[in-house]
Amino acid sequence: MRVAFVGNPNTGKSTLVSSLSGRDIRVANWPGTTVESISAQVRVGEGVLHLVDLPGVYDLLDDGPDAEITLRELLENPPDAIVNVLDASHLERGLHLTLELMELGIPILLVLNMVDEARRSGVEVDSGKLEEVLGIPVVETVAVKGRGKEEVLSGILRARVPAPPVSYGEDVELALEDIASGIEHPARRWLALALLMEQERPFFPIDDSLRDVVEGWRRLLSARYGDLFLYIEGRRISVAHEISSRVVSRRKRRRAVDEWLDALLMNPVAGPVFILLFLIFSFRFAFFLSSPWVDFINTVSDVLGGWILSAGIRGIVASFLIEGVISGVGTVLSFAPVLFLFYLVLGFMEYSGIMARMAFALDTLMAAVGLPGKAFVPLVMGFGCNVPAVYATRTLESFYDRLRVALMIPFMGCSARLPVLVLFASVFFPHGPVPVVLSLYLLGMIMAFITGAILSRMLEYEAPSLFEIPPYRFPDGGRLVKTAWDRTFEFLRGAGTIIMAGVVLVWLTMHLRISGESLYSIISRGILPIFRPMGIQDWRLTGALIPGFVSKEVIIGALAVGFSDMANHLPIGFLEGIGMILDAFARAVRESMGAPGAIFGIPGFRIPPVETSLGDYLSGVLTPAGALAYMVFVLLYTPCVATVAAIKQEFGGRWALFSVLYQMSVAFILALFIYKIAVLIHG
Amino acid sequence: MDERDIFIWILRALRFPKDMDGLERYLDFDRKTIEWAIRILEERGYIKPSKCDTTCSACPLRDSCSFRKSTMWEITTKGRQYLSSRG
Repeated sequence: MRVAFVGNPNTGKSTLVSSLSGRDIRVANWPGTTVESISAQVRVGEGVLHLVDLPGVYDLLDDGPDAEITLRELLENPPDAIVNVLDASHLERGLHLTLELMELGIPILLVLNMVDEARRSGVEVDSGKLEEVLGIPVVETVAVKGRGKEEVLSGILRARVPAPPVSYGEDVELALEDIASGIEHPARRWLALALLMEQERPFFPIDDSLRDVVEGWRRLLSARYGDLFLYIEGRRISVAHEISSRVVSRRKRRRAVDEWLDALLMNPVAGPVFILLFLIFSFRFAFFLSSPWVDFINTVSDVLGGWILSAGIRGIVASFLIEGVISGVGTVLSFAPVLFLFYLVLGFMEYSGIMARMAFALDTLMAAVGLPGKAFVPLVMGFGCNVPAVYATRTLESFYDRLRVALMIPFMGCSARLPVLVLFASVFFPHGPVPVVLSLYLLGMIMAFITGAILSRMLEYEAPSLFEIPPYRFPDGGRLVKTAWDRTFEFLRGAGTIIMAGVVLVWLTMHLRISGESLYSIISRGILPIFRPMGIQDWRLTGALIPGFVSKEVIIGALAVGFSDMANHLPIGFLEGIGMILDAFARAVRESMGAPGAIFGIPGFRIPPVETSLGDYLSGVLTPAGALAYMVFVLLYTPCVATVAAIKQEFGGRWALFSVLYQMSVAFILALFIYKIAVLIHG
Repeated sequence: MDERDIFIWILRALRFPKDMDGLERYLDFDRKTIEWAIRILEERGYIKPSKCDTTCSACPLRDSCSFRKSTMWEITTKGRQYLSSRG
């Protein structure tokens, strides 16, 4: 099968042929240089495609050697198919030739090349609509990067003879039919048009009788249309312009403030600094504004526990309700405010267009670990939840890029780990919980990047790709709140089931006794020696890590159940409880009003440290150095079972197992290292 | 007359000489299409590059002269006749 590649000069025809055939082809087509057609071969399935690379032309009727070679090839030795290559940035100009080629009666495939450059300059071509309008297959390529090769090869097999794309009016069409009936050639319509335009070519002579017919029609039509050359070319240009206006969209001219913001956000130096500041304020916003509401929910939990005792419920049932259901689920529920605010910030970044610009600013940084800038988006999503973040890697084109990012994601501390970090930081570092948590998140990010860099050496590297920068938008507040609420609700609903199962399991293992000792205690004590070198001496701390593999949310619940075993719950009267709840609510509202001041660090305002009974117990069994090691371990150890399942689904069991073992090792080594350093510094 | 005919639009526009930028502002077509249409019109004798008869040293407008910067195009007699027959 012979396939001719035709298009305007500099549209990437030769690059595309080289890319398809694997042969380096250069066609000289600058003025005054001798040009010739060059062919190459490529095997597709059982058959062989002979690719003929023709010199670039703007019009088949152009003067000069380029157009003559192209036209002779198409008329004297008609190919089985034409691949018409267009520069996507200049569709209107390229379509003129397309319309002409479509009149040759040869199957045709349209290739929109350099779509990346077009997008970068704000031009978006709707190739689906173009295909529909023209009635021929259309594929997008970036020939210089080898993108779209397969689509071109399969498109060639789908190429078909198109219907005439331009109607020249009833009388001209009649003339074309009359003239074409005297021509024995598949391109008879195009030749009839050329004859009407007085464009006879010596390599396609016509006899005298046909010349008379053409002359008669030319006289008749000129009286109505004037210069037939201009009329026919004008019609083609009009149709090309009309099609182009239907399928091409251009980004609007940008506002000065957008340009200014881009200059800041997308600057390779200022961009990352701004991102860091933005993340710091986001964390402070989420922590400080949610803190009063966390206290409120804790108060409600305490009151509910008190009411159960007031109702006269005692023994194993009271223990299950207070230490299992209320303590576990209530603890997790208390983190809904922080999740909601965190998702609010993420939503703002997404909808405003800031997230995409952050990805751009970090392109250089990401390139250092062999990843495109847009890999940053799933990594940031990992801060919310690792599971959707793993699925979000599908936005990356290359399998290896996706795999690298998926293995980096679990190091980005998800929001389920956040409660553990917040609790420990508040208890052990009451004067600076935010810097501690932030440092831990930074540690996770550093580990993610080290992982990415290591994997880029192990796995095949592919060139970073371009990504779209959406325009700036001020997000719709209602939509932001709804999205944040939906995500929080989804998280709580999903986590709630797992937490209930986990808490019940933990509660059961605690109450299921073998030789006087609980099962939970036996397992937890069994693994304790591994953690002793990092300052963890209490089996309940190691025990909480086991259900933590099921879901990180369970860690706090398990700790609460483990330590509240020692809790001294007191009955609370109904009215007394209502009073406590109302009082806690009023306090939460009051503190929320002052929280914005704390976000920007106004002196004199300080969020009081979290004072929970669990905190009191923890401070009794851990030193700050041990707490730091425990936090590092929780941050970095094995991703939750849902994340592992997502990695398995996307990349296979081997990589899922690798992820589990790799993270466990990294977490252990780093936690031990940080504990030793902390002990060395503080004794 | 076809109101979408680029050649008619260019001929109309060039009743007063314009360069490419001027034509681009006047027409709703891609710049490359306009360049190509100008080439066709010039080859067929409907328009010609516009020249100035005054030497630059004697010209009071030399600093703001567009002729020095880019090619200005103007309609020919053939172009005027074609335009009147088609208009």
